[in-house]
Amino acid sequence: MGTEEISLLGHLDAPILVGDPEGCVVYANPCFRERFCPPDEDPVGEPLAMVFGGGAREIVLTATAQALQRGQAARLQIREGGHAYIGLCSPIEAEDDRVGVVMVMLDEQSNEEHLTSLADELGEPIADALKAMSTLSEQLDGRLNDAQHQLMEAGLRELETARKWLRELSMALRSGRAQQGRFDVANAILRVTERVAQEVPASVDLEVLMPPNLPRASGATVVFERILSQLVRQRIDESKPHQPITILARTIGGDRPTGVLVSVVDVPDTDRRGRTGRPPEAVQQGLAQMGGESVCVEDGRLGRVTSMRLAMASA
Amino acid sequence: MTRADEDKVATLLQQGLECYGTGDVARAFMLWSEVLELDPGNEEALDYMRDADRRSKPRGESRDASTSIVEHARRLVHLENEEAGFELLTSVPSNGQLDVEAMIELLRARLFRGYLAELEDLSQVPRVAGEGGDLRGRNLPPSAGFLLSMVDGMTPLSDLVSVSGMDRFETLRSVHRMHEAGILEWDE
Repeated sequence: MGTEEISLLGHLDAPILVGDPEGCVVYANPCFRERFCPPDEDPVGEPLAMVFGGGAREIVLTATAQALQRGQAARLQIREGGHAYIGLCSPIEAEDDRVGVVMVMLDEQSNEEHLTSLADELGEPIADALKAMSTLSEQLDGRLNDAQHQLMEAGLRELETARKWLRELSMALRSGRAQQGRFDVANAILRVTERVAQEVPASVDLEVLMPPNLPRASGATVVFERILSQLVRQRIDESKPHQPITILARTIGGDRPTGVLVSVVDVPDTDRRGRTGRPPEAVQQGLAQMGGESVCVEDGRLGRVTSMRLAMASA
Repeated sequence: MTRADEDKVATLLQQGLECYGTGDVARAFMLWSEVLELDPGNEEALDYMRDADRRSKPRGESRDASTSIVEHARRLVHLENEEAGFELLTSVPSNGQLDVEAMIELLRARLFRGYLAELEDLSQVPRVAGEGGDLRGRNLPPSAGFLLSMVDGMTPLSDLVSVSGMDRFETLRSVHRMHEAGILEWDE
């Protein structure tokens, strides 16, 4: 097979590699060279084991061996240079013999983002279902027979488990592409406050307390603003009429700052509020995505605070 | 500070120690907090507060200690002494416990509302009370000293808050405490 016959592959924006039965590279298209090879280094003639590094090496060699032995395409998943790929390794057959393999890699990122957004979407209905069942359980307390009570308890338990695994899934999906960005927390807070203030009646008192010199935090401003907007809107919906909503921010860690704390304080209305003890699911997941954490603390006299700790951006 | 205030400070410090000795940490903090109302930055009171919770807990139980300190703070809040609760939480290192930091924020929001209500529309023009001669003996925290340097008897509180460049909570708290301690005054 000459290079002329496969030159059209050079115009594809997907890494493609052709290997011989001995496991050496006979062709790599420019996209492959750009993403997998050091500049000015020709992979042709090199063993596959030299082209791929780390965990990818074993995966590629196994897929090549399977394709050549069985005569069937083998799937593979690898990471290289911060990208995730799903690939297909197919045998090249000539007459009765297998003369090599062709490997096509597809960027997995879009798929990963799709899965992440699906996980986010799932969080809300699960939280709603949990809330509905908890309310039902409280309202029916004492009126259920033993069997019904057990069913209710099992349902609640399973929903809690689903929520836990959903959080694990989100973490796993995101761990592969850590958020390296940094953003201006003070600006983000001001933008959210401005947006929310335009949506709500003028009677809602939104107060912001923060120093003028907050350090930058690690993460993405889009994610943080989405979290904060959701939280503030939810707290406004649940708060007692004419009670202020206070957004506070400050550095924590004393002389050696370790993070930025952003909090929302409200006084919840008993009839309108959701379950206590935990920040909203979307907040927990969003914070986990940014490497932060959140907590909700209540006091009968003072009200409720939802605090989010953001990691400091590295210099 | 007048002679009577000095005597009262000494008495409150002593009573705080006695309460602390009997295990009533919350009340001790309340009394030491009263000292700070009279004498902001009183080193002795601050030292007692810093050390109190640490001494009362065995080593290696930081989680329990933070829980206990939040409980002490809640108790002070329910005794209607949010200032003392705030002092307690901010005097002891939180060791990274998010619930302690969150409780501090809850108190900051409440105290800020209290200061705003007390200072109304911030149109008052503060001035240094009396001759201002004994300010050095007050051990004022740096932020209070900085604010005080801008008090000229002509600038209203609202402008002080704007030009101080400090967190509005910190500014109003300093003003409130200096007013309580008789350092700042204005026409009521």
